[in-house]
Amino acid sequence: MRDPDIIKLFFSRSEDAITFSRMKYGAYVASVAGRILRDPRDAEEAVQDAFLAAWNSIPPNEPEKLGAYLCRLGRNAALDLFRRNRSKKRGGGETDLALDEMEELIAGGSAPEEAAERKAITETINSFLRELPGKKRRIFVQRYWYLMSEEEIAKEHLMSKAAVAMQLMRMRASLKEMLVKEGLYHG
Amino acid sequence: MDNEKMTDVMADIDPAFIEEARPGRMKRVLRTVGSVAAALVFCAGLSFVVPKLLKSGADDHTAYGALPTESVKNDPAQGENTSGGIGGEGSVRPSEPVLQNAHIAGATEDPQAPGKLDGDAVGYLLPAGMDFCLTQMTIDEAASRFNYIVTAVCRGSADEANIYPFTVADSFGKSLEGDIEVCIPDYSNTSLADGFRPSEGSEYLLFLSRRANVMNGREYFLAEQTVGRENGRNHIFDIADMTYDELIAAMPGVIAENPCTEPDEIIGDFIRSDDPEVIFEGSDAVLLAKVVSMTRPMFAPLTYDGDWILLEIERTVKGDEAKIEALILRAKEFPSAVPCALVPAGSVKEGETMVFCFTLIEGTGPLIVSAPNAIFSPDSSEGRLLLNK
Repeated sequence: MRDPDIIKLFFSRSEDAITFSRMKYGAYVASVAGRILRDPRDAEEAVQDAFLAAWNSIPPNEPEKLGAYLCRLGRNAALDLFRRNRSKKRGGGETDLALDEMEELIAGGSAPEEAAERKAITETINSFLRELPGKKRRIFVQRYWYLMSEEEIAKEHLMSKAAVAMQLMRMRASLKEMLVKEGLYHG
Repeated sequence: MDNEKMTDVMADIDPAFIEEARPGRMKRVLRTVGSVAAALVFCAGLSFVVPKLLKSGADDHTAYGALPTESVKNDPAQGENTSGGIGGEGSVRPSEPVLQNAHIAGATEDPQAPGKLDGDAVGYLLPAGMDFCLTQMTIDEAASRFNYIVTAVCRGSADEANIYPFTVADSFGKSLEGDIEVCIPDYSNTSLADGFRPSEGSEYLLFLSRRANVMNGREYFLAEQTVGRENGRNHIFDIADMTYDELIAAMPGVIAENPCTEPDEIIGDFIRSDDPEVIFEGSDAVLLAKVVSMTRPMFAPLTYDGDWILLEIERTVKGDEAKIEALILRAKEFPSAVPCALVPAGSVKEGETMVFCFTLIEGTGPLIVSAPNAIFSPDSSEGRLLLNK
């Protein structure tokens, strides 16, 4: 079933929307959640939350790319659960590392008070990603969106872990430079 | 900006980048696990959870193949099910719109009949390790994944294992000529029923892998993606706007740009010998075990000719007991697991104690006979020979 047809089902409030979207994208969402949570039970919980969130948000939302939309919901649900677990001192590992790197990305920055600034930062990141060569862009997104470990990325791209780490470091530096230029870095 | 906000900001990046970076194609995992696990995991995920067996009180002495839930084993590149592109049927049809469980059509009608299971089958999402029949991919990925890509004309109807006779018209990948046997799985009576059957006399573009079925000792090609002028079963999502003829014309270029990197091997191959010594040597586990209960799976190429059995181990003659124990624990952990081993249909009866030679598929279970003739009576000379090893 094609995405527009699934979205129509969401709009008609047919529970088949959940069935078909899970069939088509459940594995994808589960893998994203699994990478963040590293625990199959937690990941399944996040997947459930994600599809529930989809049910509650479509409509009004009408995503152009259903897969990415569901995946984002899965990622958000997994991160929420990760944070809850961490507060119970059950988290850690690769996700923490990736989050720490993100902090370094905008090191010393102050919290943006305005939603507009957040939007501007997102736009800057999108511009930054658009300018990157495909492979580098995939590496960046895999690290900071999918929260994959450097080792996982290295395997995926047939690179050494050190090479991945080096590329990520350079990309973070470039992004920082861009954010400074845009006045979005508050270091 | 703190981590949480940064994470949130990243969450809003262009969805195109997210899709582009989608990790993992799992080619190697699939190759390692092979079609045996593939078919089994596939069956398990779809329809072969047997509550009856779970309820039968399998204890720590019971051998069974544990199969993971989709959330554990799924890979983003696998386990998708979408119909699209030329000749796609577009009619996957789960019968109940529930979040977790898929109900197999007709499953409650006659729980004793072969292929009819009582209760819900858990996890209609396709777990990793299955064949590619229902896997979404691009035409470039399809070209690079399968060694045999042909146009072929269907010459007749399927046999009991859903294997159709085809005649190759043209090869795009490795050379293939003449008549071939092609399995096109039948998903009727399952939530994935799409109604697709190749039509006699029609030409199809087939993306094929070489497979073997230990249950009946047969070799065949499996149609991983099937593109037809009017019907088919393909999940190649970027050919939707092309006609069949346009696609055929484009194939040489696609293949030139995306040469297949997969080894040309028979997936799910088995020990080709009746010699018990050879079978013993080639098997991962040799068990003296009693058949506690059995049922007949209903589909997937491998399992047409197989019986799921639940075993109670009396003695482990060969094999890693820790691994078998791990399978048991895993099966207990995951409610959608299937407690079973797989043997050729009709090869054993409930209550029988036999010597079983199994292949152990790491990480996924279950136990699968390692050769078409890998089960021996403990009273036979072959059985005694194995028990004295």
